[in-house]
Amino acid sequence: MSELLKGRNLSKSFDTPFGRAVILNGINLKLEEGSIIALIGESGGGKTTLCRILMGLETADSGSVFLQGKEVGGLRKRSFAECASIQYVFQDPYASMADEATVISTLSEPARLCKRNHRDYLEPEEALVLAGLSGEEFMDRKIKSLSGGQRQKIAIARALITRPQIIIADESTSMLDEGSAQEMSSIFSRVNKLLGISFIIVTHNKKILFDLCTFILVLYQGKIVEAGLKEKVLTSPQAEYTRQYLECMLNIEGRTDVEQSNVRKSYG
Amino acid sequence: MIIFRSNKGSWIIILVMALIGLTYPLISPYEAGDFSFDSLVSPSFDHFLGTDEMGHDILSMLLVGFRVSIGIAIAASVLATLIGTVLAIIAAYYKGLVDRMIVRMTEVFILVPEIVVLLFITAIAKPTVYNSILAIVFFSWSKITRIIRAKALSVIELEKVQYTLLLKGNIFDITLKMWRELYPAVATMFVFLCGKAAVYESTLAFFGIGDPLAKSWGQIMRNALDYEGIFSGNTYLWYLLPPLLCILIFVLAISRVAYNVDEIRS
Amino acid sequence: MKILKKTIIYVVLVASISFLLPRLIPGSPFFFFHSDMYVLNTMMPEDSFNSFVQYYHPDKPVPEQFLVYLKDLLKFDLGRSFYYKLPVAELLTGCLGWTIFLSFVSIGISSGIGIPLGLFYAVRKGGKRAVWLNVFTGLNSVPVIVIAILIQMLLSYKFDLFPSSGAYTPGISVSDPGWILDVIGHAILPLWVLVLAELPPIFILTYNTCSRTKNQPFVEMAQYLNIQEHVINFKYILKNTLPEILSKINIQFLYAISGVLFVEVVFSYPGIGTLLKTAAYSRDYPLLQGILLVTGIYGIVINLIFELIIKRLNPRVQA
Repeated sequence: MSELLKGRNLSKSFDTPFGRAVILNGINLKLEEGSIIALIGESGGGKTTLCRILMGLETADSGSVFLQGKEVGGLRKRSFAECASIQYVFQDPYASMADEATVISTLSEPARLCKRNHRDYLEPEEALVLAGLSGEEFMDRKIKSLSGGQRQKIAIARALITRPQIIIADESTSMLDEGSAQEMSSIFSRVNKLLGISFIIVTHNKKILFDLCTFILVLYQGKIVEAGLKEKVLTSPQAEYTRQYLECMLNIEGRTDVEQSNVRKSYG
Repeated sequence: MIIFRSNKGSWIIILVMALIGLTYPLISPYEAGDFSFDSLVSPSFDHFLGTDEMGHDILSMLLVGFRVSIGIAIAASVLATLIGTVLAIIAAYYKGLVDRMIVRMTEVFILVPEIVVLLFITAIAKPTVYNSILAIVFFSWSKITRIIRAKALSVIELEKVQYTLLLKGNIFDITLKMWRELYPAVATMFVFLCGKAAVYESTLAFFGIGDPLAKSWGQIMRNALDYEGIFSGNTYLWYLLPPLLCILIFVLAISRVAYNVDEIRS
Repeated sequence: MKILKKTIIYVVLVASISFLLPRLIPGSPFFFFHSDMYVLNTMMPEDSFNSFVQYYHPDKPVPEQFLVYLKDLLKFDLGRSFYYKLPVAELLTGCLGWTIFLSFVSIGISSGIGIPLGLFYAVRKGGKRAVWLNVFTGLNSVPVIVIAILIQMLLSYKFDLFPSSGAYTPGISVSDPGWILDVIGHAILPLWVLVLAELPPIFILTYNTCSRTKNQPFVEMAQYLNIQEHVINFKYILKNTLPEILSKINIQFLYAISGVLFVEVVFSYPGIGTLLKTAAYSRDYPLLQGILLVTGIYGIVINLIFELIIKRLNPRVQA
């Protein structure tokens, strides 16, 4: 498997009224083709900052990001092809699309930009079907008339149009109800299998964590404290924080779930 | 004052004033340039606001003033809003050095008193209406830029705009995406500047360096104050006060409409 | 350090504007090439023309003119006024005092009334605050020109309560015992107009910032803790809003300079404003340039003072 996206030694800190806050401290990560990475960690622990650095929305204080082996800088230094091959699904489905726009005009924006830059793109109808919505029914509806789950599906459809190789989803399920979150998870899975798109998913959703992903990265206090294949991390977590995290997740949500209690048994 | 409380009333006042400006030849009793009447006549049915020391009908001049003053105000405001908004969006889009340079320029225009710049330009250039408008635009754009830039900087952080940025949308794509959020601020600033421009124009006339041929409200006030005996009788009541009130009503109505500008500013 | 750097940039920018502006405007005498000098010679009186050539060196290329201009500035040589036939620097220093006097006193009075009043109405519970706010908002939008003319018309011409023009009665000298009273009497009307124009924005912005702070969690928490009300008002609300209020008064002060110049014209007060009017009317370029430069630098100095005070009050603010 070839290496799609790599972050090497990424660090970032911000100035606050109380001194300098180190958000990321020497992060290394790599995403291989076809794999799905689940990124977990504390709220405010730098997950979103890491995603934004990978996307180029922010620049790291030190370290570099490689896209298919080529070093890419901030957003302004990236070419359209580089930008289009990595797509971002925002956390808040209510803010990431213009309320007044229709579905078709939302989806035709990336198509228009691809056409302008001579890049192959997916027809909006196809993208909509892949995202689990039927084309005719939704095309002319206003974004503001849709529910959160439907909006997030539109957001995925929009991300698919540029035929990306990577989609970074920043807590895309955290504002949805459990049903919609499960649907999202199956959409991710379908897209991963059908189109071979790789994912980095920031999540706290157990379905994504236990079923969907192939790798797990744990970010704690600005460092990656645990990284590895899902099975390995879930069954024998090395870091104290990962143990606590899984403990909490299973205690709160997973007692009756057979599969998860197996997981619990095997490490606990 | 009650009428200014409601926005609707203010809109009606502004529209009526603009309408008078558009149609004054139909309602004006005499030619404004006609000075064949007796001079300094008190108000009567022939001359509602009397005549000036030269024998012009004051009401007719005042009506011309609607077109000249409001016209100058709108023209200057359109230009300044356009330039100011474009610069604001450029600053917010390109950030970095471009942004810093634009910000420094707007700050300098706040540090230098506007009246000095206004007089500087109009004194050096020929006193025409066209140059007065340009002089007003020259320092007004910075006010627009300051406020719209601040607004644009927050709007550009919205996720829907960030999405377009992520796909390397150019400045037009971004402007289009931001327009819905920017528009209210731009519209408010435009209206706000209309009022300002009307005052600047009368200030120029007051200083005696406006276009002496353009019969704006300010110019009538200047003529009134230049007339020696303006305060000796009651002449000032129908010579000086009407143009003063016209400006006052226009500006008050405008400031009611642009009321939320303070909210945007803070 | 950062503030100092910014200030230097401002000064350079203001100097460049005052140098470039006349050269950019079509129709100005600076716009002629030196080959066309005879045209200019026919347009201006002989002595104006001579001093124009002597100070501006229109025969030299523009960058060199700028260097000469900067060199003259460092020597405080701003050229000779066409109209007064005196060095511009001398004229300006004679007038600057009155302008500074008017602007400082008027802003002082307005802040002295406006800030406590704004705070008082913001923290007061119930009452008719809306009425006051409306009065001030209405007053806020009345242009200075209208206030100035109305007040002069009523109080000075119609009722003859105050002297209508000048800073002091002609012929009276500083050593006379009545000089101070005379100056105060002449200053009352201009100051009145200025306070009427400056008070509303200061009141409104104090009111708005204090109202906003009043509803912040840390103030509400203090109220739950039964901390005395005047302590809350001063230590919690005023102290936290003061930097913000000051930074807005800074801008008001800069706007007020324009107002002061204007009021000076209406009341023929012998400050920079009156000089400005004469300069503009008689198209006295060196004087206009000098006024632009001096008022610009005055603004920069005011800005510098305010930024230093704000930084002192609130070290967290990044300039």
